[in-house]
Amino acid sequence: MATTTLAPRTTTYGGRARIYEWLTTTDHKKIGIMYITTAYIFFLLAGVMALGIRTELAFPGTQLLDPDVYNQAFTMHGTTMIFFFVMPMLAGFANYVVPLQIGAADMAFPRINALSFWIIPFSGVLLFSSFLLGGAANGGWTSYTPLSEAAYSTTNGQDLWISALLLNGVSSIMGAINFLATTFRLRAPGMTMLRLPIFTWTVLVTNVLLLFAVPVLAAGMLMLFIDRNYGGSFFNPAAGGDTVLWQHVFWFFGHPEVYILILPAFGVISEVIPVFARKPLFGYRAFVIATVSIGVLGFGVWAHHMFTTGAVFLPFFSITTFLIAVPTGVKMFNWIATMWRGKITFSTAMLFAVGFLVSFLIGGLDGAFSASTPIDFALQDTYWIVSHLHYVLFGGSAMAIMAATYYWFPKMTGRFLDERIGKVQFWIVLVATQMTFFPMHLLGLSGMPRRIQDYAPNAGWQDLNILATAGSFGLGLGVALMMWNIFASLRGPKTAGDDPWDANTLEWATTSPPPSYNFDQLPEIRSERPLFDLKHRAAAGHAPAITAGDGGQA
Amino acid sequence: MNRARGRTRRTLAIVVAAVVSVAAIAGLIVFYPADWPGFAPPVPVTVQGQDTEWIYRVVFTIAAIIFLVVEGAILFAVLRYRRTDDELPVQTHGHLLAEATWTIVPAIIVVALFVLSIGIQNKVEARSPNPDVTVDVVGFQWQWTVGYGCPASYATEPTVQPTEDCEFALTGLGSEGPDMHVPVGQTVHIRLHAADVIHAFYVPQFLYKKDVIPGRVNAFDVIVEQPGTYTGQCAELCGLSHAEMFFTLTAEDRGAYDAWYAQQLEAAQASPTPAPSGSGGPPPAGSVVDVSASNATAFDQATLTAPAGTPITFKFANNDPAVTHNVSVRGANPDGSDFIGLPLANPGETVDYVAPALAAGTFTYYCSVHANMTGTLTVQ
Repeated sequence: MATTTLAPRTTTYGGRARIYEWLTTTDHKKIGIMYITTAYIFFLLAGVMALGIRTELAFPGTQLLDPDVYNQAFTMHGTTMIFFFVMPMLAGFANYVVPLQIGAADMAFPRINALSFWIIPFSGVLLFSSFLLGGAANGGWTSYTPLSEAAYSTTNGQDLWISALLLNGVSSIMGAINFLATTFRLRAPGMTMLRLPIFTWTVLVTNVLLLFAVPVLAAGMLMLFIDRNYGGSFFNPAAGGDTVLWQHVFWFFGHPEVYILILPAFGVISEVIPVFARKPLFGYRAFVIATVSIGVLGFGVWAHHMFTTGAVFLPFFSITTFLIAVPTGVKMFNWIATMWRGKITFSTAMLFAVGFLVSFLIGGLDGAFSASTPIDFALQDTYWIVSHLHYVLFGGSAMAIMAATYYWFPKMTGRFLDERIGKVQFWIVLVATQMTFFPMHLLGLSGMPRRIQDYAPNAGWQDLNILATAGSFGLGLGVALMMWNIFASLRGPKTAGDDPWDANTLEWATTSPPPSYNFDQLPEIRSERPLFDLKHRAAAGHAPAITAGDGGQA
Repeated sequence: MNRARGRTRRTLAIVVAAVVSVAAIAGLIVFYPADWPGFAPPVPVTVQGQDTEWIYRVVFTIAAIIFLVVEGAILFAVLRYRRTDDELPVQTHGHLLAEATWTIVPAIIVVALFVLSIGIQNKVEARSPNPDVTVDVVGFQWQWTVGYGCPASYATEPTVQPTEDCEFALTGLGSEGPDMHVPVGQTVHIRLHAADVIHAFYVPQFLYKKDVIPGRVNAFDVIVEQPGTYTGQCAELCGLSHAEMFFTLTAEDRGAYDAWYAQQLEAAQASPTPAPSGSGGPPPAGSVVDVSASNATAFDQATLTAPAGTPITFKFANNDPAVTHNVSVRGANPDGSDFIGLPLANPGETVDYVAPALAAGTFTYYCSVHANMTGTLTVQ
């Protein structure tokens, strides 16, 4: 077992030296915090664009964004939320938490880790510079050809989009290798694979997905770049290429990407619920198997985004899409069973975890509609799909990110986030999420296409659009409260202590914040809850001696 | 004693929450405005759409039951199992039978749904060997051309010009789409061609859409059962005026359809596509202004100049390899309406448009197919 020994630093930093320390750090915890901070900044930018989109759609006619700017706005909203908010955010939490959870001193390759992070803000700036250089990409985050080809997308926004996402992909690939090496090689003695905390498991599977999916997107984007700039014709049917090829390449990346965005969120929920229900995660092994099967099946469903192209074999992609509901359902039932007969404390983190269950369920059930090909023919490319994906990515990922923020903030800073503001924020966000995204189901079902800038006054879509717009401003308020909470709490006293939530995993077995070398000493690791075992030796009759997860009560 | 009171309170909370939830759902159902979109899809007007509606109802019912059961379980757990003391709850690690149940039962449900859905898919996607009517639809930025009586080769030709090859063709202008007619109760075979980027042919009341893809000919069969006029719209992002790409579809009795067809045919023969300019015919009237377009982004000329007081002939060369264009002038007709250049110029064609005489001043000219293509016409 390779371990890194670092001598404790005694130097204290002040002023410029402190900034220099952050700029040059290879400490996974500082890098994690920088990832999270960067991701929140991009979240605010993309959120403002979302409010612009919703304002435009509140009424028929042009309110705020003319069609050209509107197309740029939803393209950049989607791209930013996916590649510059959810991905770096989850990478940030993983960076901070995974080495701690497995009892390591740092990531396997700390300098590559720093490089992975620093690519993100620079590629983000590159992406956003397109607004000042003639206009951003406007073909949607999916950038379907031929609309994204040079003949139809004449600004260089599309080229900057490609360049920024290629860089972003390099960051993801390096990060993935780093996480895999860390998880496989730097686990503390006793931390077997089946004792890994579930968050670390989900990060592990996510990084395997990244490693297989991102290079495919990179290849597709290079082909598109060659088409656009060097007279290539990969996607040009007039010259022997194939337009649908782009969709295959994009979605071969794009569907695993959905699981890249949601699996670590599952991991967060699987950390939060057991801690606040004071029970172990119900069915640990089933959960691991479900995570791995989602990862595997995730590579076999891509063409369900293409049912209406008339160019794919429908039954195969229909059955794989239906089947992926099974492992996802197992997780949902396991979370509920974890709460069952527990003793639940409703901290803000736990509230957001419950909000995740309540909202993500809707996004998951929507999947059954899309898996059925005839229903998908009706719903594809309508506002229903916008609803579905936001229930997964906002009701799911973003809700879990908020839970993670409240849960791990005390570890990162030694300070609590204000729980009263947190609870107000939770209720605003929960209600506004339903208000914003649920009406989109009904709008799409009745025929409102997605990505339209305007609709006819007599289409009957006005009232629900106003409701959704009002909801989106509620979400804006909720997020603003959270930002206020973070800034205010950072100036508060350090009252959190090492283990404020009475948690189970190793990150809580060190100080808050941990020293740069993470642990002075590690507890004995005999289950997936080493800290629980340490605290409840008396209750060892309930805790498993060696293995965990296989039917303690069965 | 204390514990008993706590349990009573929690039971009360659960009952209250259950009553509130049921009341909220019932209230939504009762007070939901009738003219807002609901959980039911649009009333299907085609045979295929009715099949799709059936499978939608099946999936919706099952999803609704799962939704109520699971959300109910979450709500119950949250209310019932609140922490009231410091005693550690029983540390349950799993339950093989329960876990097997919630793996196998959902698996059976999704496989059953898959089997039902494939059955419906085969009905919806079924093709008739002898359709009663075949219609060719071309999607372009940002309108539709609908061709009737097109050559059989259109079945495999992705790039087509119905205005040249078919018995007659209708093209939409601006946000005013073409009105395609089909007979009720008969099999209509619709073939889809794209002139530039991907579009999607979508009629909400068909509960169906199909992508219109360059380099491919997509096709589907449909039997419309309900006579009426239905609105359709492009459903795949296709650029600037994606939201304006409408069309209508009128379904009528075979007799009415045949009469409409004959009328359209007669109109088409009465005004055949004008011969490209320069090949004889009367010389252009008034002053001649050359204008051209190479793509759907802008005209090649941002400004034009013409003399006042004499009709202006726009000699328009459409050099765009993909899409039709024209030249129109805002407010140029004597009644103050826009002068619209007709017919549209097909790719590679040159067409003369004669606009009325204008007083000195500045006018805006544009392509009525592509509202984004504008320029300034200075009349002096």
